[in-house]
Amino acid sequence: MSDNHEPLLVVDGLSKRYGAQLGCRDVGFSLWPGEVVGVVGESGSGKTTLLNCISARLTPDDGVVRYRTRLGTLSDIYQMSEPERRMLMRTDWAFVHQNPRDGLRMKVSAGANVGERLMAVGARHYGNIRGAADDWLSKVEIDTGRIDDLPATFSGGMQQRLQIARNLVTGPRLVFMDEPTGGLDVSVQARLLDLMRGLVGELGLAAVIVTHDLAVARLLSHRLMVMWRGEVVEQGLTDQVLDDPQHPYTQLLVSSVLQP
Amino acid sequence: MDMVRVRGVGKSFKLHAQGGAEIAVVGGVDMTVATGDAIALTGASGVGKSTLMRMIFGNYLCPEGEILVRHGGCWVDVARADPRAIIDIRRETIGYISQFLRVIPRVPALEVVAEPIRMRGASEGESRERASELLTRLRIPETLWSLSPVTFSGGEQQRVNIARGFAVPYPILLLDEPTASLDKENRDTVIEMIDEARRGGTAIIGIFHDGNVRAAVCERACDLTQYRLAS
Repeated sequence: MSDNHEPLLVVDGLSKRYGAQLGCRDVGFSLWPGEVVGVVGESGSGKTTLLNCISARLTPDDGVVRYRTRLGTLSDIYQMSEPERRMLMRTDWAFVHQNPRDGLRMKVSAGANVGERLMAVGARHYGNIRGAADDWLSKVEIDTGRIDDLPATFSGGMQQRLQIARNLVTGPRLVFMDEPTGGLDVSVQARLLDLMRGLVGELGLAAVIVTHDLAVARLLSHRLMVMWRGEVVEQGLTDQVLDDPQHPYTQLLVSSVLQP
Repeated sequence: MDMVRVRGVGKSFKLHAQGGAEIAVVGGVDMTVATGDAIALTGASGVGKSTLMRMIFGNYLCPEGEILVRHGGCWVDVARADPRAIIDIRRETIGYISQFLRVIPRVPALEVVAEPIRMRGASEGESRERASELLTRLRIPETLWSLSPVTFSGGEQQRVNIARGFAVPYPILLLDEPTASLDKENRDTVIEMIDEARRGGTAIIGIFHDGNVRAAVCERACDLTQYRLAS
């Protein structure tokens, strides 16, 4: 077992280009167990490229992404064998997409969506799987009477909560989230934020959350990275970056937010 | 025992939207605060009282000088500490009560107050009990405890904020106008609470516009006018 004094994820010199187009350049940071890092910046600033590169979904051109496995060793995720990496993505990691349809299987029931992740890691006992699915649906505040319904019959907010349940059921240590509250009504957003805040604290998850919403970043993240034109131009304690921004772009970003 | 040592601290703000204009605030601030000490920051509006306080809390960067804080038996320089160290210091060592409560929708008042207690590892029951005591003492009606303070009045929000700030005994407490929007009865209660903390050994740094409150709470003052920089 690794302890909490060792970083869980270490990213160094990460760069990705799409032809002549820059995705992200020379990004480096470390993430510790139980820590939530927010990545903010406008569309096209490289946030999602960075998230995909560090979650083994997009091979970077340069740089290293190392993850501390349950054995306690830091391993380069792009040097692992394909089965090793797949196992990691199914068990230790979770990825919450902005659009729940990208993270759910729309043709199977809500219960099956949650149970499927468990079966992928070897669970076989139907009663246990059903029990876990039931438990997780109530944790994300979905009426367990809807367990056999298709996700297509759910509202956007419910689908997003279902996606979170599906992701967290295997007890991951690291969660990647891409605009998890994007496209939801404000009241639905508040409920989801409250839920995520509770779960992250309760389960001691580490998370990287990409968002363009500074209020979401302030609420959920301990640390913040500000991206601009593919580079991290500023990073630090969340409230410090938002209340005493140093970089011209961060100052612009913070002063552009409408105060309700 | 010294708890906070501010040495040669200076701060200016660079506003990039205004052609990189530099707003110099303070320079060369020296201040020491010990256990059981209560010191008031004074000087006219804009002199840098809140700015200094926010630097001690790690909320503003401190580009010049050092801010040493006794944290778990060691001196830590907040001006150079990494974010994780500052989060640790805020959980265990420094409490900060600002003028305004940052409310989170859907989180009930009782939970807002109980959170710092739970973050130190107390059980849910224990932390709620302590939170109830504080809310009762600050005269927040029990009917409001289960509601998010979003819809509370300014004075009620302020009292929830104070209850949260006093939820755990911090060795260092920063108070930025804690009594600003309170009536006399509640103001007296808060003065009482601050004084209890001080007698218990908490080092207190405060900003109080009300001279009576300041006199009731603090035995000495640090006038920041002397450290002011001409912009």
